[in-house]
Amino acid sequence: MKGTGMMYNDMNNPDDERKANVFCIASLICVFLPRVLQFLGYLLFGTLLQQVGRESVLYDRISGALSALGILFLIAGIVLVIYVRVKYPKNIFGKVLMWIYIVLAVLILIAFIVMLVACTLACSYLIETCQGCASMG
Amino acid sequence: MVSLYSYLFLASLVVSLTSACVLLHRRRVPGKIIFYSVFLNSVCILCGAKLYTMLASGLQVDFWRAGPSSLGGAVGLLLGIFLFGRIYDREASLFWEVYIMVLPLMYGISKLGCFFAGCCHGIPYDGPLAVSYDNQVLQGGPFFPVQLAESICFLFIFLIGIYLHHRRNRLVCPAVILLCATAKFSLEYLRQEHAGVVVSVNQAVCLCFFCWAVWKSGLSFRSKKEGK
Repeated sequence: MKGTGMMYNDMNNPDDERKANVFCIASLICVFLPRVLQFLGYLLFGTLLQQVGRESVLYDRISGALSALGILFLIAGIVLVIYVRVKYPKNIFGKVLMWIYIVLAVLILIAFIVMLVACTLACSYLIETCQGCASMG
Repeated sequence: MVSLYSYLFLASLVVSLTSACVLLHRRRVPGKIIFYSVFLNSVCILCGAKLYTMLASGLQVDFWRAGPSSLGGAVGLLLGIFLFGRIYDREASLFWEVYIMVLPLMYGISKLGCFFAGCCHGIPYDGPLAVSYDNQVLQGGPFFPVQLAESICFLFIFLIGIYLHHRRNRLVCPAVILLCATAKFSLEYLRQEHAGVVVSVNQAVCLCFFCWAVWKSGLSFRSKKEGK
């Protein structure tokens, strides 16, 4: 990417570092804060409603709306960190944050694949045992 | 069958995003930039797919329980390409071209998952290739294999896109979107879910894509005429 120094900041300019750090903090807030708030909301209101013995359609709708908003904030957080990596490639905070997001994404993917494989194996075992029962019967 | 659906859904993402990486690499886009675009677009596809279902259900279904919607994934991908184009404005048109080209490939493979699972099934039909189901998702039939028809159509559209891309045709994006929107709109009438509805939500979204593609084609023709 030589010759693109005007567009992409290769030097550690203090102002650029500060801007990049602000974007990184904003990204962290966008990605993690909605999740934390959702969890706290469930703890406070979800548990309370369960104890009172009432299910609230309104709670479900609000929970759904907050969940949808959380998704948009997640996308905004990813966009911000990618912006920092492209425009300020030397920023350390941006590098570390990008790696954190990559590791989290890989862990989620591995968990999904493990769950898939476990379900497949469980179904195959059930089918075999059912066939076994049928032949014994 | 549910697991096969999940495997094919995963495979559709892996195959299409890998194809996009290869096509971008062949056009000498830096590897780091390809990675950032794939990362952003995969997040946008997954979030878009889930969010569409959540919104269509009136927010009664939460993120984890919402099934992925193909149109939602497509909208998510387009959002991802747009956002990445704002960050990395060099070769933005190339990114649009490549990701829109692999969109029918992604859809075609994921529809095979729907075919095996029984979701998004067709209207009652007992002609050739009719299919009946007896699994957790669906018991009944015979139905028209609309998922298979969609899969074949969209894989064919992907091949057309590859051909146009190889010929460096400027109309790759609008052509692929026009063909996808037309195919999806038409085949929607053969789905059981469409019974009793004149124009479904999916068809309304297809019409929007169709109009956008016509507008893009018009812009392209005009700029060609003006010699830009």
